[in-house]
Amino acid sequence: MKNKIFSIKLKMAICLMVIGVSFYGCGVNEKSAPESQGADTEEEIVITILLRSEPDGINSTYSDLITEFNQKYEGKYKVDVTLISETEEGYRTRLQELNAIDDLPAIITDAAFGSNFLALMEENGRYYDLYPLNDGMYSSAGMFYNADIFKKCGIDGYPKTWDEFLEDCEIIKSAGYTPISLHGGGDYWSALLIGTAYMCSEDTGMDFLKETLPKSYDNESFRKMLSFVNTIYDYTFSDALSISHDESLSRFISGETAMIPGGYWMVPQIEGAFFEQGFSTFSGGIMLVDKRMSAWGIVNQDDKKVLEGAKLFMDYRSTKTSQQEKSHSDIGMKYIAEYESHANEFPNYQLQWQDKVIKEDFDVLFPKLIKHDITVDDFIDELSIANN
Amino acid sequence: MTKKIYGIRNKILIFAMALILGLSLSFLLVMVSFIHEERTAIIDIGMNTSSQMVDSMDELFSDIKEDTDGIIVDSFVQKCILNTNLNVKEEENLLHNLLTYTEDLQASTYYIKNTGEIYSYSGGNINTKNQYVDTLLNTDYAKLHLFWQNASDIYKDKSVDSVGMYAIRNIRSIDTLIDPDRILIEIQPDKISQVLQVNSDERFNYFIVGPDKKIYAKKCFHEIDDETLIKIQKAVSDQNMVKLPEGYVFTSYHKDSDMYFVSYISDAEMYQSVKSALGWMFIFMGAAIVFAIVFGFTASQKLSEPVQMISKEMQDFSENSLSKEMHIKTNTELDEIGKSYNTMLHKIKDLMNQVQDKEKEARDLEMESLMYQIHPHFLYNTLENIYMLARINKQENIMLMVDSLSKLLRITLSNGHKIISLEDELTHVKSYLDIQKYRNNNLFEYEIICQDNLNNKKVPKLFLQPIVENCIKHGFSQIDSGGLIKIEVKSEYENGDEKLIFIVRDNGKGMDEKDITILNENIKNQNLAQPSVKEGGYGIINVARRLQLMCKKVSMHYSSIVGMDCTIEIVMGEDYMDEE
Repeated sequence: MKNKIFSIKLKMAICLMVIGVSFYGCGVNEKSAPESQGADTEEEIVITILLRSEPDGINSTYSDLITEFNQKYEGKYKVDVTLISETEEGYRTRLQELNAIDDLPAIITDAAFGSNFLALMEENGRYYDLYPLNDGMYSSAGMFYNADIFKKCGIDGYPKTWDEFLEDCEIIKSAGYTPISLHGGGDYWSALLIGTAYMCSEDTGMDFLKETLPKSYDNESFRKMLSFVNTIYDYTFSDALSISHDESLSRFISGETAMIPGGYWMVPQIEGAFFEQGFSTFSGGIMLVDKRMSAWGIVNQDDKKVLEGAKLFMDYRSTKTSQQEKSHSDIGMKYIAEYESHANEFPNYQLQWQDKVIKEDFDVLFPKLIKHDITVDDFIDELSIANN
Repeated sequence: MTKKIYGIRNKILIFAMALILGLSLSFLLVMVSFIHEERTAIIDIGMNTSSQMVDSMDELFSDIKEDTDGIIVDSFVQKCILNTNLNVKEEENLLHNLLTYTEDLQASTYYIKNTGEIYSYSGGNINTKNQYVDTLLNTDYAKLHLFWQNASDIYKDKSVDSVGMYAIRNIRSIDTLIDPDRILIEIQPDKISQVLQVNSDERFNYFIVGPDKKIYAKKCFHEIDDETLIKIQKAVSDQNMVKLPEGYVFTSYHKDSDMYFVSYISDAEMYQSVKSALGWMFIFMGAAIVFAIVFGFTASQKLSEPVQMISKEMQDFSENSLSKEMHIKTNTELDEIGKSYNTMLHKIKDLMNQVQDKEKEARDLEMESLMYQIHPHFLYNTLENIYMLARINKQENIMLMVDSLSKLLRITLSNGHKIISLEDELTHVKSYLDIQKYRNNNLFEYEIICQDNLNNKKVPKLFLQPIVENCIKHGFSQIDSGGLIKIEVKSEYENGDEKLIFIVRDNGKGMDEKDITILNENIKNQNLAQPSVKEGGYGIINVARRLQLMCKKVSMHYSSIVGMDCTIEIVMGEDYMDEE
């Protein structure tokens, strides 16, 4: 009897359980389909960056940095790299186009490659901020020199004044060496480095150079600079106007010339030269220091989360870069020593004067000036006409 | 105390009801699950339809953006930006370039200089002081904007109040800090229709809603009243799905165009497809229930009938039903029960036959023993000698009695046969009556009337003698003379069978109703505990028992009128168990 009652109860319990599970299953499915659904859950923030690819199709310089950042912030932030296989000029043109169609990535390198582009970006509030690397230490410029030639010419150290500079050029030239490695070939930046350094030895010159996109170049400081540049071309190769910078650098490294203006980016090539290498600020202890030259830029975004992520990446980049031990060569150490002790600094004319003036007008006018086909006044007149 | 359900049929019906209940619950579960699944499927479709419209809008937006990107970076357009006034040739080149890029859109395109000059193939005087447009373009550098506006706000010379979709964008110089030009494109209605036509599910209605939550385009397959439209507009938000009392609103947002793409389905439409399926399910379930009921009744009947038959047969079981076999063919275990019952009947019958055989044997042995003790030849010879002596001495009464006794003994012994002719039986009873008549000093007279042609009929031996003995001992116990015993023998036919009817009547004291009833009952039950048995021989009950054992069909019944008569009627067939 007891067994029978237990059997009946067991069967009833099984039936009730089956029914209960079935209803529960319906209930679970009901709960999984809510009446209203909210917005999407948190997603990984993508930070876009445009880089030039190297010949092998990747950018090995920053690939490790980006990979490490993505791993560290996986699920929260991701740096998404777009590589373009363009020349430096092509890359800059692409940046300009992307800016015009408002499709810039969150981060761009070479953020201040030209004065016009920089002015365009800054005037329109396109940049959230610029992030120079190491405060621009490794993108500053001074003068590399061949210490052996200096010694042979009896010159004791780099000339401290611009008068001494010209005197030393004369001595070196008389000794049979080419004093300065200069070039032409479409741009005259080596000569203009020295020229603007000279111009900034006076306050008026510094004031003019600090003027962004000047409306007129007709001033005494600019005239003096043109005249100085004209003079120093007397202390360089006879074919300087037709050679490239690479050629002029090559001749310096081979020991033909005594001086070449430049920055830390030239150290890897110069440090291999067989002669004793020296580096100095320009005469007067002045050095070109423009943090913008090495700066990457964060483009302003509507999405604040992207901005935060981009800032985080920039900080990460700075930290990682500063942690990396640079193995400095002898000439590298000299460069750093000069940078750290320089007395004065001036901005890069390439980021101050109009692109047209630098790329087009100078290309036309400088050869004429250096060949003495035109005077300085003619230069300025023609420059004014071309830009009105 | 609960009343227990009795009967196999009722139990089967109870199980059938339980089955129906289970089926009904299962159906309910299936129905709920089906409705839920259908609702979920439709919700998925709703989400997909709104997403598809966003995808379609994305394509349109991408096309317009790609075209205007090309315009912006076009070198000639870049020169035009820096040029305050275009000459005819420059204007022609500009429009040609614009047409090249926007040809796929087949749209009316307007180039608006930063000086206010408008260049277009389409004609139309654009309202350059459109505050809404200015606000849009001032929010960003050079992004493409799509917006809805009345034609009268876009064009100076149009009074038509038709709302259209337009694209506007700043045309920026890539390298010069200068005020941008603008490009305005009027999107053709068929392009907008293409976005809506990506969906063909006619259960839904489709809408394009602007950032101001106004409906600017729609594709409706069903009428929607104004009140519901207002609710739909209010429900448009970042939430993908909102349930209104009337139905579901599915929203997808296209960020680039700042537009919402909405699908709406009413509850009536949502459950329309469910209704027909549920209808069929109800029909199926109803048929299943009806089938279960019919099956329950049919199956229960088919199973219960043989069980009831078995039960009745067993309840009605008696000596007379030993040959009444059960024939059950249900192709179930009940068939075995029927066979086992029939086997049991056969065994009972065999056992009863064995008992009867043993009783017969015992009687035969007793009879043989009696016969052995009597020595019939010695008895016959002695009686013959007495008869001769009586004849010599001319003693006629003695001669008559010896003759009667001789006949009585001869028939009594009759070589052990239990079945004799009617003539012999009547001779036996006559001999007995003659002896008794003489012994009782003519206490009674007797009369034997036998129907013709019955003398050769076979009857059990010595069954009449105890009956007439009873008449003499009990019927005439209170009289000295005038008694009458009448024996009548006749035959009747019943259902084609001949029956012999023996009626023995005496005019003695009779028996009262109570005694008659008891006597008939004892006869029927063959109860041997009778004073008559104890007193003098086989007795009435013994006769009844013998007749029951010997005759296949026999009945005995007494009737009497107190103080007048006592009658016994014996009816027997001519079929005997044992013919010897």
